[in-house]
Amino acid sequence: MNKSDQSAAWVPALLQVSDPLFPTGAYAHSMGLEQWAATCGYTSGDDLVKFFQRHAGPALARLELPYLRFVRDAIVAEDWSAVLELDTEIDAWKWASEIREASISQGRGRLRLLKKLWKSSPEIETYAGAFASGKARGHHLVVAALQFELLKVPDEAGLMTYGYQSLANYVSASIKLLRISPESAQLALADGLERLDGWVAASKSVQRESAGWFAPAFDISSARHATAFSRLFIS
Amino acid sequence: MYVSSTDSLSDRIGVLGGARLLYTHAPLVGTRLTEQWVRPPLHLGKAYHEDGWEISILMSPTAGLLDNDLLEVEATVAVGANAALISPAACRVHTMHAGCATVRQHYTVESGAVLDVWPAPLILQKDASIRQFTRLDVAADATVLLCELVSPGRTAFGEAFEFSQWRSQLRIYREGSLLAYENFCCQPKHGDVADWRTLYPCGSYASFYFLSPEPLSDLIQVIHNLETPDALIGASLLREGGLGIKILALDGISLRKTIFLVRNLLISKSKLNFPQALHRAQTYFN
Repeated sequence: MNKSDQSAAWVPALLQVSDPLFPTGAYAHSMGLEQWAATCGYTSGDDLVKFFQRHAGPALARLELPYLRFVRDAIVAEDWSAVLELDTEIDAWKWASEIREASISQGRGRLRLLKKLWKSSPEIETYAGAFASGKARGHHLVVAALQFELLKVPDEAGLMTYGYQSLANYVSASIKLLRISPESAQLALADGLERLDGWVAASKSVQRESAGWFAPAFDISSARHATAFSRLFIS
Repeated sequence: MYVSSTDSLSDRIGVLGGARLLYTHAPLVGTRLTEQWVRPPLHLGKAYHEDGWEISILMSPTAGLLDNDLLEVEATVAVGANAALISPAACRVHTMHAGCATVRQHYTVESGAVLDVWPAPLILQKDASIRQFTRLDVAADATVLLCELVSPGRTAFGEAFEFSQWRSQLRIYREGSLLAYENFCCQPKHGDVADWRTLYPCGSYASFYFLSPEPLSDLIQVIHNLETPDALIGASLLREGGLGIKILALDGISLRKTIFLVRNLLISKSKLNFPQALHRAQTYFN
């Protein structure tokens, strides 16, 4: 490993953009967990662990993390038409409209702040311009890939960070939804994080034509959230 | 087409067939099938006409697909034409010792045209392996009802989720813009579709895409109200119009009832004159 590989200069900025204090509005979304927990009768941290193992983890490994990698590769190659094509594809595979809009809302919030924090980034400017003109959808995955490239976060660390944020967001929502203690929530998160390395590793071998995930019951539940009689979260 | 490393090689020589169909509208006679090419393992029954529609019946003389079979369907509904493709019997994806069957479908629906694709269920038998590639190109003012039904096995005999793999890719384009994209490989032996199996261990699945120039947002609540303990149903708006609907049901009967309700709701919303034949519930469910 050479000196540049060992540099940890990217760590403070990565911690800043990954912190719950970073205002992307993620706290307002359960990303489908609210309705799914109600459908399945989740009540405990163990249920959350099961959810990570059966749904959240495989969805990261087979769909989201591969797309994060595809987008970042396209940014590195300065292939902006490929970035926009991937953005459109992400929009098209987010079947439930609330999940789709939640992704755009968080992407938009993150992009707005990145623009303010790193004013001189041509990548951010290019994508923000495309978003402003309606050519880009603004999905969170795409903005996250931009951010990791901007901060020169090593590829694997970027995948791990995105995975952590996804699981942590579910954990944050579960404290309100399942009424579990912060300790139970952290135990569930720790279980998910122990498996994250495997999900990240699996995601690296997924090619564009095979990237995808099928969870029809979860999709149905996510769609039904839009007309739920009562709810705590936007998605 | 791609071949994954999990695919086994089969010695069987598959049957390569399908259909190429063109429906056009003539002012005095309505819609007619003006070009057709059909080859086994697909059979096209004699088309019939009702209320200016052309209704084609697609069947498989082999009662399903075997390893290495390839089925290619390409149908174009030209400007102003009204066409339906239905099938009266389920299509079994038979047990395979190796290899994989492939189905490719491409539907094009031009301006002011209507297409109703209402196939019988695909039954994924034990050790079956299938790849599906579906593409739909739709004009902004066209109407499409695209339906897909899947049974996870011969559930009446207690067979469920014993198939090897079900790979599916669906792309829907409206005026050239990607509107919906599904892409997955489902392998139950690797723990896939745990959500489906948890809710209905022998249940069936249906997916609808409904594209219409009519506003559809008021349908979401109405569709959700159709849910019963035996059929879970979710509907979601696609970007820039259109509706995706997914149904999971306890069994074939519950699925049939729900599909019948959903179809009639969508047909009513389309403000189009669908012929009576397309209002009836089909009888292929167990």
